[in-house]
Amino acid sequence: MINEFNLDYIYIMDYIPQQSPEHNKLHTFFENLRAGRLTTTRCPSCQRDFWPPRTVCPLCHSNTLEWVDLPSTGTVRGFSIQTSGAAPGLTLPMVFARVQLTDQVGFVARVIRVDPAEMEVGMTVEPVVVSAPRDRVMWAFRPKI
Amino acid sequence: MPRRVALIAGGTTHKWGVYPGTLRDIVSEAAKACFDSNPRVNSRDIQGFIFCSVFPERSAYQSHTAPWAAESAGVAPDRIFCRVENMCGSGTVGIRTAYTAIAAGLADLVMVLGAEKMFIPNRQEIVLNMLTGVDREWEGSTGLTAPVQFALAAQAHMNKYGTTEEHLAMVSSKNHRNASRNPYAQFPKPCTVEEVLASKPVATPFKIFDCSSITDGGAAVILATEELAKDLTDNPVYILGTCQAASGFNHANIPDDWADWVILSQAAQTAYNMAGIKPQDVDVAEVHDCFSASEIIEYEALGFCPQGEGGNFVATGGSDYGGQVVVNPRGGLIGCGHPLGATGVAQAIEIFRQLRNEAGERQVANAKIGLNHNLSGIAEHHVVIYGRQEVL
Repeated sequence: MINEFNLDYIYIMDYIPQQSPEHNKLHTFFENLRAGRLTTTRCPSCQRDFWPPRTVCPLCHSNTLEWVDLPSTGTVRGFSIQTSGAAPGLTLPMVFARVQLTDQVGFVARVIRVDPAEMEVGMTVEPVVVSAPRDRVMWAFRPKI
Repeated sequence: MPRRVALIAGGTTHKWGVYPGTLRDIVSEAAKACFDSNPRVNSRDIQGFIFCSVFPERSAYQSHTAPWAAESAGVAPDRIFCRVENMCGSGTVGIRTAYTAIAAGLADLVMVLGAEKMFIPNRQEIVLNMLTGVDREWEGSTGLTAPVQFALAAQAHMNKYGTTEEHLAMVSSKNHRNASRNPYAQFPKPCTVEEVLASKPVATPFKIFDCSSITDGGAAVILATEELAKDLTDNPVYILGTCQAASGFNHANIPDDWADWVILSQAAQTAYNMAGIKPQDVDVAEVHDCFSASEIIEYEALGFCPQGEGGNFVATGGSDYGGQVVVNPRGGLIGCGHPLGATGVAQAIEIFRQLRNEAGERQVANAKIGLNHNLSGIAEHHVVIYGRQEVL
């Protein structure tokens, strides 16, 4: 016979990033996030901030990057209200937005704690830390209070 | 000089949608359909095999798939074989890979086979599989999947140019109607603009009929040198020009204005130059309508209409039968479904059939030049232009 095997944790079904120093060289990002700081990496010689954070500068290939705090607010450039097809662990409706944080850094992120009907281009949002399975954290945004 | 390359055979699995079998079964049946389409080709003569499939490791628990699929297809390549994976554009990237091998003289006769098994017993895994196609750590981890990415582009186009949800629905209605004439289409039922607008919301501004779907399916083509093509068919369809371009991967790093797909414009212009034609010379086009708005933005980037006028182009019939260029006569991804790795190959098969006057009730009258556009995201595009013998 073949026994049922232990399926308590399947790594390839876990879409949340690994966040510990033994599994991720960018673990500092998640440590900062846990402390309430949304950060990314800057290349001091290129004077460029990148998203997502990097271990090596994509322009000069320096590996001496520094962590910088992103601004405490961002601007919504566009958004969509999703009402079908959420990944396991997420509940609908979900709001996603293009959030611009600096002239160099803007990305697509989830906006939470918002009435979808109140979303609009140009609104101001602020980062928020959300908990994730297996003692991890993730980032999202919410309308600026 | 690179050698000229032609399509000489092509076939799809019979009915796309939920396929009652394994990925291996899809591969075998796509190969059979391809060989059945041209009895003059002996499967023993196939020298190259390019397999296009996005996540067989996840959906079929199988890696090392090029020789695995070759065996399942009944071919024994002895010059080149590999798997290509460029998400939704894999099929066209596979055709470009075969093209480069033949043009360079590495092989004379190459099969390109795209196959995807997306419906799996645990439906929750389908979404997890689709998350692998974006930047999983920094985007997929937030739950971002394809509908929202393209919805953001649609909103940008609507805000910039005044494109409406009705324009989007017109694309969907046209493609569903075309699919009703396509035996392998997953969604062969026509629908009106009003029905599209009233269908279930997915991600604003998209309703379910604006979206392509999860699909099982397979498709295969055979490419040959010009010399061999003339021996093996009376009607070769030649590759006139091709290009591929991408800029950035994470959406933080793609070109800033999502309403205008400048990377596609660049790729298309290079392909037009290589083919020695202009957009107005294209009679029939298969373009990547993963979502209705994509097709509207593509009209503009491919040069079928001026920037910002894509909505008006579909509204005035420019992309329909009798218009400037018939777009997505097979029904597109919206009507046929989107079995990732198979889509680009199936698009090429439609161009092949159209340019050989073999498309039956979908036939575009007197089609001589066809364009195939396949994408893998807002800023990753693949273009191939085909032509009949008489346009060489």
